[in-house]
Amino acid sequence: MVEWSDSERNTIASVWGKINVDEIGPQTLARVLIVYPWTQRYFGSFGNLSSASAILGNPKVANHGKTVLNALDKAVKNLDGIKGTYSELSQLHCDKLNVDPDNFRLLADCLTIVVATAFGSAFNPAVQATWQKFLSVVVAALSSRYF
Amino acid sequence: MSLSDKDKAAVKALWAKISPKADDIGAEALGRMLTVYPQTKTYFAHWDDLSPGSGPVKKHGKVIMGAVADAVSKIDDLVGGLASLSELHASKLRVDPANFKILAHNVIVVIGMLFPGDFPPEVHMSVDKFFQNLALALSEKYR
Repeated sequence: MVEWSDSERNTIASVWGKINVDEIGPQTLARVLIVYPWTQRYFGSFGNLSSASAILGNPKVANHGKTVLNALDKAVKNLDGIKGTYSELSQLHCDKLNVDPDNFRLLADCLTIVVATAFGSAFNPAVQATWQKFLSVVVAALSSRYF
Repeated sequence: MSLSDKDKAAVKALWAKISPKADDIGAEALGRMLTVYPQTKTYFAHWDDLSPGSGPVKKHGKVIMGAVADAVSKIDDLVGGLASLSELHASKLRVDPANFKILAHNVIVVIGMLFPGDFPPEVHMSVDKFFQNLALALSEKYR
């Protein structure tokens, strides 16, 4: 069972509260697709992903970025039951979407970098530690139904 | 994933912008690594203070970024250029190479924080590749 201190709970809620999902979501997914181009394999139906500018301007990428980031809300609101919260989503990613779970770590790292870029020095080491702990729990939960 | 001419140009251009703050970047990145990935503290048990901003962290952050600067100047032959550093890490320091990725992540986080306008996705990709190649060159002598 993951244990969260009061300070960690406050930090996660505070960081999440400041994240503009409509901006950060699209930026993060676009960054993943550009920095780790092999991840494009999962988005064959998204149209033009042939260049960084195409990816950054692609509306399907933007929409899906919002979808993915919005899904984090469930975890923020349910810190003591993240594994259960994402049980179905994990099965979906394994059985239907066939996503290599290593990609969850890539997305988490890119999200951290985008958040750090947006927050600047407010994203201090302690905040980064708590945020990354939170994301690693999310990543583990999404990987938990892979067999 | 070897470095293209475009990657090398992007890394050099970014380095020119950020090198005046190299010491700060190094100290910040190292402090974050020790805080966010506590297992990395095992390599620095001989320091009296491992907290972000401490004397030893600042000093060693400077050393690390000095080596990164050197690597940028030797970007056309990282394996050759970093041979003695690789020897040091392999036989004396014996740092598990998985940790190079961890430090690189934290350097990238700090670059993004301090230079938000200079770190679009394409530059991020080239820098990520550079650190990956740097890590490979550093691991060269391990076995």
